[in-house]
Amino acid sequence: MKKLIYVALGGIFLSLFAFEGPMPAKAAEPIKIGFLAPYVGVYTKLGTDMRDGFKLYLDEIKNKAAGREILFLDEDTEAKPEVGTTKTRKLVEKDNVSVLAGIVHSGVAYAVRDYVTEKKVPLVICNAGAAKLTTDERSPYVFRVSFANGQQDLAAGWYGYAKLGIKKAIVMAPDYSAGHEKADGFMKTFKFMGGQVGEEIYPPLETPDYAPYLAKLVNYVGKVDRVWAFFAGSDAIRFVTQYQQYGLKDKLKLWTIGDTVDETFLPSQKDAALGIENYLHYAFTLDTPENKRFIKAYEKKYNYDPGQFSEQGYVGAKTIVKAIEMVKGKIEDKDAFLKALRSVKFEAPRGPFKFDDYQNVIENVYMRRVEKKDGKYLNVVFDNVPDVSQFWMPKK
Amino acid sequence: MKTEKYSRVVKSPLLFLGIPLLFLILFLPSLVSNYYVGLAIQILVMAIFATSLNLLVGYTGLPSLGHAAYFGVAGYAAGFLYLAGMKNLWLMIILGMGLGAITAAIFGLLAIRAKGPYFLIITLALAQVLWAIAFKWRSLTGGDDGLPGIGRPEIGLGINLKADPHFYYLTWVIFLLFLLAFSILINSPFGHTLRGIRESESRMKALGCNVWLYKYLAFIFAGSLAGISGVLWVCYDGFVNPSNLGINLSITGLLMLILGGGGSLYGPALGAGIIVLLENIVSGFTERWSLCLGMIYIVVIMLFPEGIFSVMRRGR
Amino acid sequence: MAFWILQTLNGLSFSMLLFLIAAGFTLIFGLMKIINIAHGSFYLLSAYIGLTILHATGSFLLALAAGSLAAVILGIVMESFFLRRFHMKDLQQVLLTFGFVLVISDLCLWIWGGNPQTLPIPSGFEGSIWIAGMVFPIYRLLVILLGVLFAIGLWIFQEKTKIGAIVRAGVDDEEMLRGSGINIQMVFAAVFALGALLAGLGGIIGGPFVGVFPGVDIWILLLALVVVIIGGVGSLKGAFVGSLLVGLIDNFGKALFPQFSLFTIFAPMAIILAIRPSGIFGRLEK
Repeated sequence: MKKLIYVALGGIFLSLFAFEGPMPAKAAEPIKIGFLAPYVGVYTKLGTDMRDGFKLYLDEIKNKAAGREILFLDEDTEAKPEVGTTKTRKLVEKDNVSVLAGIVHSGVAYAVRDYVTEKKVPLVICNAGAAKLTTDERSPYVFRVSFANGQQDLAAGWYGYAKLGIKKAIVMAPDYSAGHEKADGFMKTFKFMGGQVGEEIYPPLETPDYAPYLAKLVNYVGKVDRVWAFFAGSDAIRFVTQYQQYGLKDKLKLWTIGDTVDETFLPSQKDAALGIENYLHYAFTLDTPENKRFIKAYEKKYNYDPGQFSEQGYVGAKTIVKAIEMVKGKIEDKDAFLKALRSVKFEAPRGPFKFDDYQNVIENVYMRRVEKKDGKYLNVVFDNVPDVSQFWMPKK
Repeated sequence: MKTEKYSRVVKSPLLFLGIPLLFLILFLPSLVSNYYVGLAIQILVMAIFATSLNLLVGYTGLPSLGHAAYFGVAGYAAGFLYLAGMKNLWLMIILGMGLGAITAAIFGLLAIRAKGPYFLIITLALAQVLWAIAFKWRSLTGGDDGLPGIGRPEIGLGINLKADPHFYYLTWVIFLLFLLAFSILINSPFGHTLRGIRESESRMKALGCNVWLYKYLAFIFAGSLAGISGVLWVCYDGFVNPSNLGINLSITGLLMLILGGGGSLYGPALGAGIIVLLENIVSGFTERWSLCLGMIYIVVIMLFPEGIFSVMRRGR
Repeated sequence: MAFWILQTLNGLSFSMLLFLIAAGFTLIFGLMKIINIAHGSFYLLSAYIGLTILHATGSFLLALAAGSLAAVILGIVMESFFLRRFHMKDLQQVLLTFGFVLVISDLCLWIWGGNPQTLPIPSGFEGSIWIAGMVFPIYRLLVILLGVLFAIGLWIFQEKTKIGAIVRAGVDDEEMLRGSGINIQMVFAAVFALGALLAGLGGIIGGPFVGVFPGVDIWILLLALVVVIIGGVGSLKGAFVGSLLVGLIDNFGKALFPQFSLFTIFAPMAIILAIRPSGIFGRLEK
């Protein structure tokens, strides 16, 4: 009898989601957007920020575009490629989404690239920076509104040499693809201008203790101008605080990408981050009407400050909706929709937004410095390099 | 007499559900969307992985927490072969099994000496070393980005594996062949010796059995069989990356085995089915799926310490 | 010269943190043969609670007490209501403790969010001092001091107290201990709580320099496993020596051979295992 109960339970359990066939989409039916992001693990904050930004835009247009309702479907990729592909299949084959968006982790993006191309579902990447996704491994169905690893760093290599007087630098980044790609971007333009790299140091991801590496850097004081660095997450907090604790902060200045001193880490880094010069394609303090409006709306809805990833999500949503409007809601006409996506241009919180020929974003890069205003640590903009694409090179 | 009673107990739920279940299995692709066919494929592949692990854990009494090593090595091999232009699935499987065996042969030398929880920790560490190598060796393995662009291989006979339903049926065939081979293995004298070792090593030694050798061979067989699942997984998903060697996968395999019940032929497969389905259903309902999954594991192990299959089998 | 002093001090400070975590793990495993995959969860929970208390009261000591208490409570709940019935059953323990890992980590994610954070350094210990011509953070020296104090304290406990003797006897021969009429359940519960306490202390002490973030629980667990394998399971001496070795080798390894940084933790372990499968001070099971 007990056996029978177990077996019956098993049957009910299975039937929970068996026999759900696909539903074909018809015009005037809602447009489904599938969103992929990690909601567990180390990348959670990036995922939730990105989603919040995305949904803010959908709220602003009251979930309607070109007369059709927009349905937002959310799936957790756990930042794992194999989970990412499963969830993507679910969104495409079970839920019949017309377009996909999101993705924080580059591994996930690489994993789904072939699939979305084969299934002809446009994907608007809102973070994953893997450079090849918009070069060697590009696809007509893959777009990216965030950045390519190395993109902002191209501008920084030139700026560091030409404007900050850096002639010799040490390069430090975590030992994984993004770290290497960003470092390569910096070194490309830096060396092009005549800069010299003393040493490249790549600590493993999630190094608890940068002390062994920082102790080496002490030897370079006076011999190089700056240390170029990229770190993110808890690595960024540890690196910056330990950098100060080992006395390097004032003796060997940093020139770093904005991730390292992101506003989310500044409350933990505190004075250790003060004065650090950095660069990014976005800044919370950017004084434009669009950015101010975006921040106000975001804070009103969510009660916390938006950051880089919030803005990326927001821009992703706007890009998709603008394209939907351009094709007057007929998203099922794939070629027309792709063409529309490619031609999207608007004023984003970060400044002017448009795609290059490889469907990667062209954007400004802002030079910032960490300052303390009214007890709050912020990255304040002091300069910018406009219209930086993933292929940007300086004129010598 | 006892076997008769046993087989009757096993047969009756199968008879009751057997026919509709068979129908479901055979016609799944035409009944549900491709997404579920994909889940079914994942379940089958993980079932092979968990069952191969069971050779070590359930039958020999060696709890390994590094089984992903062989899965991953075979997966990378399949990836390299495909990207080099050699797209024959059978070749991939043979190479995958071979590499799984070689890796197990090397690791076994280091691990077999340890017992119980020590063995657990050492196998974990060895798999981590492989993971670190795959992560670090970007020029060969693509580092953490992995190797994408691995398409479906060819199996000859003009059958195109690109369609998920075809891959699904192929996986069933391979799974059944695997189960057959596995059950022959565990019911052979070799298999019985392994069970004897699990029960009492000292007794087996006293009987003159070379316990170390049997453990070592079991380790190699398990690694080799895991290779089959590693190859299939990469061919299905279309890419390979360090997580194929990772601790998460090793733990998942072990969990499937424990949940379903080690020491039985079908336990791990049942566990694989339950965990894959659970993960996907629950994450569809709530963002707190990890919390739910954790609570389910705790409740299940408290209620069914021997695994779910054992409950069904014993029919208390 | 300065380089070596600096690196040694660095290595020692990391070692002391490892010791707190590994000591707890090895005690629990040595006496009860429990593999507690949720050992890192004690660290995680303690660090988050400590963070909240610190922000609310500004007192490091209060945070230390609150965090450790939380870890101890979790440990007692886990042991008494769940783990107790799976004595000597490795596999069930794995599934059970893994379930706890998921539950605790997701609860912490839900309550404290996904943003990585660090605990502020206790006031008075911020800043750095000059040692041998180089700058060294004061807090790290405090960590070394605390680690050594705890090591001594644990040694006294193990060698000089009655309970310590009971624990030592239990690690050596559990059957004898049961036969001697001592309430073994109490001893087990107490040791498990002690292990949780040590890991919880690690969360607050390590919080300022390692930080707390989703995923740190597994990270801590892996480190504890490595130390315990090298040092030998069940031995506090082994945990101490193992931590020293791992901390120093990791530190010098990264400084001298940065390209092999990923391996500096696992390589010494593989070497030790090849020579002595039970670790330096461990004993092969009967």
